[in-house]
Formats: sequence, C-alpha cells, structure tokens
Amino acid sequence: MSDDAAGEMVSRARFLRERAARLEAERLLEVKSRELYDAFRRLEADARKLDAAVAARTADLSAALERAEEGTRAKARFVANMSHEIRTPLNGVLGMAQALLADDLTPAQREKLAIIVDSGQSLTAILNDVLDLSKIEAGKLEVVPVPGDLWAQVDRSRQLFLPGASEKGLTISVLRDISLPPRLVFDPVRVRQCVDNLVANAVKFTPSGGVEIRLSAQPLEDGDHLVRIDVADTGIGMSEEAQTRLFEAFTQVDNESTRRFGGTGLGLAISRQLARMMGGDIALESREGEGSTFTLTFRAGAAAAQRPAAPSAPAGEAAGSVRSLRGTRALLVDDNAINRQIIKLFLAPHGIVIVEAVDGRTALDTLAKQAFDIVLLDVHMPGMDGCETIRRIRESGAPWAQVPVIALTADAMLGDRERYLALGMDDYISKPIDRRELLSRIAGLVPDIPPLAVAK
Amino acid sequence: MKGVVFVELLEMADKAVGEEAVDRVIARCPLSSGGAYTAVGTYPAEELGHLVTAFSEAAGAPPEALQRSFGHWMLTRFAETYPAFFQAQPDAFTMLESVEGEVHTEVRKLYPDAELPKFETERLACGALRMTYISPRRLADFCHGLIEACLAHYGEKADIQRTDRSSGMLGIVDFVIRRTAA
Repeated sequence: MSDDAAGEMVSRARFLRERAARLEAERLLEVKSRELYDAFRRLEADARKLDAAVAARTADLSAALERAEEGTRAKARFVANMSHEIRTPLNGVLGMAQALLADDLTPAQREKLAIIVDSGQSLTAILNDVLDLSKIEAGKLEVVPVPGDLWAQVDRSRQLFLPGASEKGLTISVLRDISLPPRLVFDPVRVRQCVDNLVANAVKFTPSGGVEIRLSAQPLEDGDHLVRIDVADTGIGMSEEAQTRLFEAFTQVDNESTRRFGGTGLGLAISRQLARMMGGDIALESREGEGSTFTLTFRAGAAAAQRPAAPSAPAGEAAGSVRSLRGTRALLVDDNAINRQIIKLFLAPHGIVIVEAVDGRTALDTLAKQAFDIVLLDVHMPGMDGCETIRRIRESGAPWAQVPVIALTADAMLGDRERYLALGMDDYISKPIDRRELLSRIAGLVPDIPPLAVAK
Repeated sequence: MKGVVFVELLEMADKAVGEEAVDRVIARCPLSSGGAYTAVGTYPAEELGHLVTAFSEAAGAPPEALQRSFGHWMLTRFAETYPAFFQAQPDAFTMLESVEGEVHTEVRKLYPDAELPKFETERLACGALRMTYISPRRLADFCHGLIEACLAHYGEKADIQRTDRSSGMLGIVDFVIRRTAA
C-alpha cells in the first residue's frame, strides 16, 4: 500500500463514485468536442459560402466598373472627336473674321466684327475647359516638370491680366518671398493654367482695390519644395456655403453669378485637379464682402545649376512687341484650303513670303528645293501626317533638318503640347489660330531679318 | 499517446494483477503524470513503455504477450464504447479496412493533435487481407492483439502471418490475414 495515501483512507463506494464521475466527465467532454467540431465545420462551410458570395459580387462589380470605365473612355473619345469637328469650322469663322478686321471697314462694321471675334474666342475658351476636364477625368493628363523660373512665369500671368485690370482701375502685384528658390523643377504649362485661372477670377470678381500674388516655398524632407502661391483680392468674397460648392465642376456661386460674370464654372475644378496631380491643392479663405484668398500649392523639385534658357519662345509673349517679320520665308503645310487661306491672310500683310504644301511628302520635296526660315506644319493630314513629316525632317541629315517647325492642330487638349515638342516640333499652336499669337510664335523662332530680304 | 490507452491499460492491469500490485508498479515507474491519466488527455509515449515492461515483470509474462493481451482488451472496450463503428461494418476485413479512413478521421475530429499510426490495407488475390502497420511507436504486438480480437468480435477464424519490415526509426509490420473457416 502506498504510504502517503495510507493516512486518509476513502471508502470503496466513494472511490467508485469519483471514478464514475471522471468517466462521465470524459464522455461529456468527447460529446462537447464533437459538437464543437461540427459547429466549426458549419462555420467553415458558411465562410466558404460567404467567400463565394463575395467573389461573385466582386466579379459583378468589376464587370460594372469595366462597363463604366468603357463608358468614360467612349465619352472622352467622343469629346475629343467633337473638339476636332467644332474647332475646324470655328477656325474658319475666327480666322476670316480676324482677316476682315485688317480690311477697310466702317466703324460700325468693325464693331460688329469685333463682337464676332470676341464671341468666337469665348467659345474657344469654353471648348478648352470642357476638353481639359474630360482629359483629366479620362486619366490621360500627365505632369511634365522642367526647370524654370517660377517668379518670371507668374509675372507673365500678371502682365497678361494687367490691361484688363487697369481698365477696372485695379492693381496687380507679385510679391516674392525669400524662401522661393530662383529656379525650380515644375510643369510650366499646368502651373500657368492654375495661376491664370486664379488671377482671372480675382480680377473678374473684384470691383475695386487690387489683386496681390504672393510666392513662397517650403523645403520638404525629400529635397523637393512645397510651393505656395496666394492670390488675394479685395473683391466681393463669398459665403461659407458658397465656398463648399465652388470646386465642383459646372458649379458657380449661383445662377445670378453666371449671368453677371459668365464662364463655364470649370476653371477651378480643373485647376484643383491639376494642383492635386502636382502633389498640392487649392484652398480658399473668403469672407463675403471682404475679398478672397486662393492658395495654390504644389510640389516642385530643386533645380540643378542654372542652364541656358530653352530655345523656344515663352508662351503668350506680349503681342504688341512683335518685331518686323518682313522677308521671312515660311512653308505652310496643311491639307485644308480654308486653313491655308486664313494663315496667308494673317501673314501676308506682314511681308512674310509663303509657299504652300498640301501634305508631308510635298513639304519634304519643297524643303529639298528651297530654303525656309520657318515651317508651319498641320498635324492631321491624309497621306504623310505631321508626326511622320517632322520625324523625316529631323532625321533627314539635310541642311534644313533643324529648320524651326510650329505644329498646327485642332487637338488642343492638355498634354498634347508636350507630345508635339517631344516629336521635335519647336512650338505648337492650337486652332482656331489667333493672328497675333501666330505672329508672336513665328517671331520667337525666326532669326533676325535676313539682309537680302531687307535689301528687297 | 492518447490517454485512453493508459486508462485502459491500468484498467486491464487492475483486473489481471489487482489494484495493490498496480499501485506498486505505478510508484516504481518514472511517470510525469504520476499515473493519473484521463482518457481525453495526451501523455508521453515512453510512459506506456515503462508501464508495459513493469507489468510484464509483475505478471511474470513477456512484454510481447502482455501487449497482445492488451490489444484484445482494447478492442473489446472499443466495441463497447463506440459500437457504431462496428455496426457500420459487416465483417472483420471491412472493419480493419475502415480504421485508417473512417475511425482515425473521427478521432482527429475530437483530437486534432492526435499522433496516430498509419495503416495500409490491400486485398490479396487469394482472398486474404494484408494490413500494414506503420509507426515509430513499435507497438506491433498490441496491433496483432487488436486484429485477433477484431476477427473474434465478428466470429471469424483466420490465420495471421506477420512480417517485420521496419527500417531505422520507423516500425513497418505486415499482417497477412487469411480466413481459415467460414
């Protein structure tokens, strides 16, 4: 008998009772384990059913999403096509109207014609807005940062709006904080678009006082800078409720504003999307009756040591400063006779000598035979199109391989500009072509007046 | 090793050598459990070895014989506790064939961590059944006893030929079972 257990004896009956209890507990435990196992299996089966349901629902949603995306792509294609279709006749209307302005007209005729040109230009602006937004929504817009001087760029916006502001008795000033590096890497086209939009709005909604543009930058940990551009006005301001709706596409403060101030209501929506694509945003602080301050922020890279300025002329150069182009030899390549007619009407009065070509092949033949100072090249042409033509010009190895070329096209959607410059074009003008813009671009690319031409 | 094996071994020993002898054996063996086992627990397999050796000494019988008797005992107890398995099978061969696929599957439902031996079965051309026991535990005699008792449970008579094909750590033993009389 075991010694330690000997001290306290239990009765046989008690031992058997305890033993029976243990056996019962074991049996119960097995029953419960089995129930637990079955419950777990049911749960697993439910989970599998749930997984299957989720998978089926996900597949449905993917299919729906795919259909929706296809719809969006179809819409973007439609808008792009419509753009081309609308621009071509608009180009004819605006071009001929501008050409007529150069004729002898009575003051009353001149006034009517000015209204036609004005209205046509408004239509172009609206068309551009709709196209930009559709391109952003289709995800087809790319940001292309290059080194540049932000202050100089913003000052060009100031110069653009100064005449209109002066008429209303407003001032526009640009203040540059010391924190802004002299050169930064940013997308000049998109930044310009945002700043122009903010300044245009500020001028539009300010009856008296002025607009102040303040530039500053804050270095970020990764070496980039967060650029901040405040556009502050002393205008009519807006209520908090109006501020919340302001950035939505096709929304303006109210219908009364639309009647009084015009516009599509797309500008801010586009600008904000652009700012966000550049790693920033547009914010607004405003009080009704006291004015508004719009703040544009975006990321800009630090520029390396200063490089020589790009050879192409800056966009939107003051139109009044166009120097004499008399004697300039231009090759005009466009399959559309009306377009050629318009450009001839624009350029001939300035003494520019024009040779016409109806497609790329004719253009190459003509280039081989005589010298030109500039080529105006339509992009969409039957046969050899503009893209193929520029490629052959640049790869020709001929003396004229580096002749300045300006692309002309109706596809004025954002992002196309970079595409054409990458193809080897020196500049780019979208139709409908503005007479003064065309002259300014040509002046930016053509070397000084050839002595022989002056002799003539 | 599942606790039910220990519980049943002690139960059989109680009957065979008496409770006092069992208490003495337990006191002598190095058992981490102290000899207190429950059917739903899991215990080190070496403890079974200690107990079998000690009981065979106490009973004056070789350990192989004790293992085989224990196989008989165990099968009878299984038939009492889990009669459904036996009712589901018409004869000993189908019962033996169902151990791996059905009985062990049910055991794993209750004890997912159970380390069970593996059984392979094959019907031979002569109408015999070959059952192969594969386990690192080396309890072929216990198995032998279980097979004998299973045949007895179904009232069948058979001749069992045993071939040890063990290699290294792994015990592999073939049992070829031939029915001798209908």
